[in-house]
Amino acid sequence: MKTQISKLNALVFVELKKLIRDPMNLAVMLLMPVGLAFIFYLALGNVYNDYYPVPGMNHFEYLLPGVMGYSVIYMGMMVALALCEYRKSGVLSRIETTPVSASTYLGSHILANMIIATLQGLIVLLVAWSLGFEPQGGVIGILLVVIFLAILGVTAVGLGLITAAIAKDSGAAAGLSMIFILPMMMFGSLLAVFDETTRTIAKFTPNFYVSESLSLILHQGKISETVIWQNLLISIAISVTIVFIGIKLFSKTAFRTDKSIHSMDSIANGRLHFVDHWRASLAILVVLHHISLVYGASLQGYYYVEPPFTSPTAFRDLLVFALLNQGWFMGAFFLIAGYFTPGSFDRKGAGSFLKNKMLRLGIPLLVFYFILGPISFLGYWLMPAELTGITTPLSWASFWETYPDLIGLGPLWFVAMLLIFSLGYALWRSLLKNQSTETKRQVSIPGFLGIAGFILGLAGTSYIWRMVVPLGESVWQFPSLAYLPQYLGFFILGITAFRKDWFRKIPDSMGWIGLILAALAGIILFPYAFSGQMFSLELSESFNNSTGNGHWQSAVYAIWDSTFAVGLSLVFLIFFRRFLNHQNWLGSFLANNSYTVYLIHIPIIVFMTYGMRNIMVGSLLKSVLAAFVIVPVCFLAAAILRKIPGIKKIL
Amino acid sequence: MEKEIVLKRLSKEFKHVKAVKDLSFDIQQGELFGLLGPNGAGKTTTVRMLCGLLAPSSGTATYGSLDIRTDLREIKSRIGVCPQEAAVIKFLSGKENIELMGKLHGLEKHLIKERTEMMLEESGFNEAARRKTKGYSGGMLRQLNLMMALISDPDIIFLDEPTVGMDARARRRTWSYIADLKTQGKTIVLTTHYIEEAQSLSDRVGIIDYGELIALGSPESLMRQYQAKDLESVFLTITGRRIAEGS
Repeated sequence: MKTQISKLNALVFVELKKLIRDPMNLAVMLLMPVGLAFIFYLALGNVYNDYYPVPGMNHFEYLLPGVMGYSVIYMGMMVALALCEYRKSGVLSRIETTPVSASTYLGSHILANMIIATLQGLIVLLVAWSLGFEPQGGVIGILLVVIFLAILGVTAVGLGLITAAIAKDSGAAAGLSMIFILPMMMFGSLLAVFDETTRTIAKFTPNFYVSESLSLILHQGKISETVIWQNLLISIAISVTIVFIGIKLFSKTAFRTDKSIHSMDSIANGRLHFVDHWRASLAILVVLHHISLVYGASLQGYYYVEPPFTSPTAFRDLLVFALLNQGWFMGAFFLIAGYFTPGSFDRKGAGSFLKNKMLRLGIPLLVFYFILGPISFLGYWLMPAELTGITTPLSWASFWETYPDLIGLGPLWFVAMLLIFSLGYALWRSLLKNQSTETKRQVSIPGFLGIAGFILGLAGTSYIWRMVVPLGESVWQFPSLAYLPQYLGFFILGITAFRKDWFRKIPDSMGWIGLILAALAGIILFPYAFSGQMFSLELSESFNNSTGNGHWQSAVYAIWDSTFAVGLSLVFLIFFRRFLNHQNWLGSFLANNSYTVYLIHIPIIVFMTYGMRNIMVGSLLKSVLAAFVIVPVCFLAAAILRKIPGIKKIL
Repeated sequence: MEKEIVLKRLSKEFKHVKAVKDLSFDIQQGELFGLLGPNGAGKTTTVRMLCGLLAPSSGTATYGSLDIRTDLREIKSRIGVCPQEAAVIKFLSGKENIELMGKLHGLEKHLIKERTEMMLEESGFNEAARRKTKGYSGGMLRQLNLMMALISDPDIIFLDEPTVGMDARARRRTWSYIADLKTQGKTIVLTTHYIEEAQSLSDRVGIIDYGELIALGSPESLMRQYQAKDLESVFLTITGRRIAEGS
């Protein structure tokens, strides 16, 4: 027994030494909580809402218990990273050859991280106290806080063990960790808890019970409330269950040979299946985005919308979904398009390249412009007259009468813009007299400074551009021309990525960096652009200011969407390369039909959502239901359409 | 000589691939036993089973009365393992890595201190051992790797490809160190795909190919039996391939 305790001590000290000696650990585990507390104080110290348990507190104080737990949650990822690293370097195997039991070894991780979790939480509290927060509950309250944090630390270790058991390497572990970190951060830490619905969702996250109890203790000094003891029992039960599962899973896989260092050579020469899959997923996202516009997120009218908008929550959620999408996904499309452009030009030469673009982009553009677009606008006649003002019934005569107003680019503005970019590229290559056809692929990977520089450059350009073309302003039928710097920037980035072979060579760890960038941008900068105010049915002034015209909110918004776009593009690139770089029938089916889906999805959405108009459920749920039906129908229709002889040359 | 380790139809199967097939032989106390074979022959898998890192699919091995299926804890306190990769903790110093292994073997503090200082002194590693291992060269890491395996003064030492990746000079120095260990009465199990290493160091050699034991005996007796000038020729005679060609 004594020997086991001394072994446990030795291992605990190793983990604690790591905290101090490993700069990344020190940054994530100790400096991040301090930084977070400061950022939240600066961003939310002057924001007030009406749903706080104690009147008069600010949003920073309201979120403080959640932030204390939030800093602990990241520990799960650090545990997973450490275990993957130990496994890869053979340290785990080495320890396994000594007479140390698995329970002693894993126990050391639990004990060390309980200590660290408590420290992290208390550091946040100390920072908050130095910024004017007055914790309630006295010494017993603080003791209870320590107990709750320690239990959350155990839960985080359990989640880390599960992640390390599933992940093949530290890169994958970082990505997988986000599956539990993000919901716990959004809901368990009370960041996104505004009403009963979000509160119900929050109850499925382990840290919610800690946040709730810490709030009762630190905000209200209610140390003897029954709910605290209930939460304590729930937290213990959750942490024991998660740790048990984690130990079981990890023990089974802990010493397997690390096969994670997947050979880049295996993807060096073949088709880039991961890019195909990435593009298909973006096409699905476009369909979901347009479904959300039908059920509430549209601010400018749409082919078909479903009234009434009585639920502010649904409106807000769908609008946030649409704004988050808009922040990055079309940029990602341009990135991929840019990536394939130089290769296509090199293979085909200028003449064939242009001919191919006119065929593949020009013809669909014309078909949508003159046929599919006007057909989609039939949705206008299907909407109630009080929304559209159309009193004449639909007839051939009324349709043809309004036809000149119905033709338009619709979502094929992307195709039109891509055609322009492609023509520009061909012109540029012609001016250079094809010099770059001989450019050898250089393997130089963008570093952190390069990425940061690109984000800041893009944000600055976007801010200035939006003084001229604000967000939401449609120019020459381009509904999101405010994003032109991003679209062009990403297209050029794609060309550069091809020349430097970044899609294949960029390390997996960049996915993790991307995820952190996207998460921080989404959580801090996105709401900050609206001065911390959430949307209401009457859009706030700060929302309007964020669209452009030189307002400071517009600058924050530009930094937000630039960071988010770069971050998520990195995440998706690495995720698809890591997990979906192979061919199967479903992947091939989705990839082959994704372009056609993009072209034809609008009329399908219009008529199918009209067909579902009598299903009486909330708009949020209805948009989810519609997505489940419409996405498969779009792909099926695309597959059937591509069976028509000759069509495959275009689609 | 007394039998130290006895393998009884030891087998390991991975997803329908038999990596090790029915290995049955014994390793004598105090001998240096070489497991020779091409890359992928099953040497490391055999050693991993003997060290308790992999459970056998069938068969077993015993250390005296101790069975690898049931008495791993006791077996682990008798063995020292020097893995193929330099398995060290990067944020600890070399000295701390060695001391940690001593602690995990349950040694008394004073013993850990004495042995660590002695090993560092003998290897001329004293100065570097105080630095974090992150900046160590490949040679330094290999040296440290070996010291970590020896801190517990084990009766049985497993050396898995101890000289792989070393230059000729470093390899000869390591061979001399291993020969020294043998004179201390330790039982050493050495896996290697270097012919010269197996031939010059081993008392007996087991040659493995495709997970099967294809020859067993002292290097001299095997060369005599197959009328070969070295163990490479022995392997060539039996399999029609060179060891370097792989399995």
